[in-house]
Amino acid sequence: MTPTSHTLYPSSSALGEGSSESREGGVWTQEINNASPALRVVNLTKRFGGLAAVDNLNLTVRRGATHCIIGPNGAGKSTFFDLVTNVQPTTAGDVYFFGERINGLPPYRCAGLGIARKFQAPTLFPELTAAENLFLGKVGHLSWNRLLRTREIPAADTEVTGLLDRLRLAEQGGTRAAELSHGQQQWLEIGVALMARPRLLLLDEPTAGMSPRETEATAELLRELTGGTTTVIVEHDLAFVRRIADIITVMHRGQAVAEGSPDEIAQNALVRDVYLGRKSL
Amino acid sequence: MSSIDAPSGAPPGIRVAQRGTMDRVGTILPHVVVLALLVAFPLVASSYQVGLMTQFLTFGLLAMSLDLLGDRAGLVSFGHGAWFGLGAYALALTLERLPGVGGTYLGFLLAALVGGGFAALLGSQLFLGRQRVGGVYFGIITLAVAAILQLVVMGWSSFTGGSNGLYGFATPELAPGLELSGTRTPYVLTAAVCVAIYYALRLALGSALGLSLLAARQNPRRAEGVGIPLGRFQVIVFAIAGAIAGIAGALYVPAGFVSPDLFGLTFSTYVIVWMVLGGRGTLIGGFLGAIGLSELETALSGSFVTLWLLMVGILLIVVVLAWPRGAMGALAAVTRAIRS
Repeated sequence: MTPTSHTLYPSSSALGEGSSESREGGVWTQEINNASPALRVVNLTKRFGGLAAVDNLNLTVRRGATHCIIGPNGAGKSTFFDLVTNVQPTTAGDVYFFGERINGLPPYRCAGLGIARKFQAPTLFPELTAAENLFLGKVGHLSWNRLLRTREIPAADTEVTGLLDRLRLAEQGGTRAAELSHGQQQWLEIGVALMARPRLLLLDEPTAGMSPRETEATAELLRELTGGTTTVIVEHDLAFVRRIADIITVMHRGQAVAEGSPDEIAQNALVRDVYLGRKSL
Repeated sequence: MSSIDAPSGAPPGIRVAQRGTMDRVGTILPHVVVLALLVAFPLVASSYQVGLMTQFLTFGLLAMSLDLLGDRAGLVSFGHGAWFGLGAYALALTLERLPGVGGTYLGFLLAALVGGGFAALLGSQLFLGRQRVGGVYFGIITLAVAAILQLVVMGWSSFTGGSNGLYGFATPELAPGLELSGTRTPYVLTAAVCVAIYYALRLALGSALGLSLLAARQNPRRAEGVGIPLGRFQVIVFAIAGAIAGIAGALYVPAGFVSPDLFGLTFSTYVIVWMVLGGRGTLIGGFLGAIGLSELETALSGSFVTLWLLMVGILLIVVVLAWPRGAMGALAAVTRAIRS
């Protein structure tokens, strides 16, 4: 059963005939005997002229994990997200989402399959309210008929009001997104991504530009809201990463140079050298 | 800002329109006034004025369709008059070959289908690929399309009447004995269609679909990220706008004459001017702008034979500078000021 029948997305074959996932009652369910990782990229490459932003990258994200990707600026972390969601076409390599190849699917269909992304800089709908922004997080899963028949949004939507509350934005529901503080915009952006009840959540620098207190709150928020959801986080704040990561991949010059638990990565001298710029691989 | 209002009894923090009696009256009153004016006009105006107003209503409908395209798909067509021309020619050519009730309804249907279908075809080429066309490029392409259509219409004289246009075709007939002749019947039909389309669009745009369109216009990349198929939405809105423009063109046909000028740059420029003067993003702004400016031109051209165009030009500059969001934007600002 495809999750997208009668929705904005065409009935997707991307999940494949053997897929055992379905979206029932708004919640993704998966059969436990399906052992495919949530995300796997094989020899993924993106070249801009002579520069390889992502260079033969092989990476696997297991289901339910919080997988952080760290690395110096220009390591190819955000480009990696662009390739997974097909915001940019790959030069070479494959992307597998729960075992199915999704190369070339347009971004809106990737969203329809259950991939939600938070961009590095807040990219909200600035003239719409926080509540409307959240509501829009799930419109991709509504049928044309429901879209046309759904009125009086978003105040009547308990999902929206509930998530606003959990995002500590209950009082800002009627505020235009452009008028929120930077930290609130970041949280709202995370909320928009979560609203779709994704199977894979991609968060690009969720604490960028935040104060230490806001970063602390964001870590708590993510632990609270993403429980069980496979989450890939690109982040520079190593203290933050150590607090929330199950597994860390270190990227450098478009390649994965190390991978392990937070403790293993912390002990890795090579990683320290690369990350701090003391050694060129 | 979305036109969707939150209901009363919503949780704290959600924007709730606290609607008292005065607010309700304030919301409904403009609709009642406009509808009353539409009903009263043929009762108090001369036949000549009613005939002119019928044409102005078709222009208003055309401007409304352009506003829909601009506000919800983020696309401004510089050649939108061409879709009006397609609709007008579709009905006139049908009536030439198939007079009577059947020909009339077939012609109206073709006007909507040709307008909508051509827009869908063009839109599918422009918006569905990875390299999408938008902004000023879309405007230039529509301008080129309009110019090409005008050349075709002028060159294919055996079919379209060439530069002389089409005239002498059968009078449209809604039912046996109910011809769209004179001024009153075409007026009633045109006004009814305008009202029906306006409220249908309001209804659709007030839904989650309308909110999604608004969001896609504000932030296309984010919209796709949440699963909104931006390209398809643009094709659909373009097709709907094209169909409405085609219907508007068909409603122009009872005037008895269609010409290649409908595909011209001048006419398409007027459509943009009507929308800008009336106010973008309101649907009704362009509609009222078309009627208001057309009436003004009629009045001025009678008294100032050579200067009236200059006066209209100055008015346009003043309005754009003073009220960037047009007359409806200015009216909304005044209303907000009074309420606060």
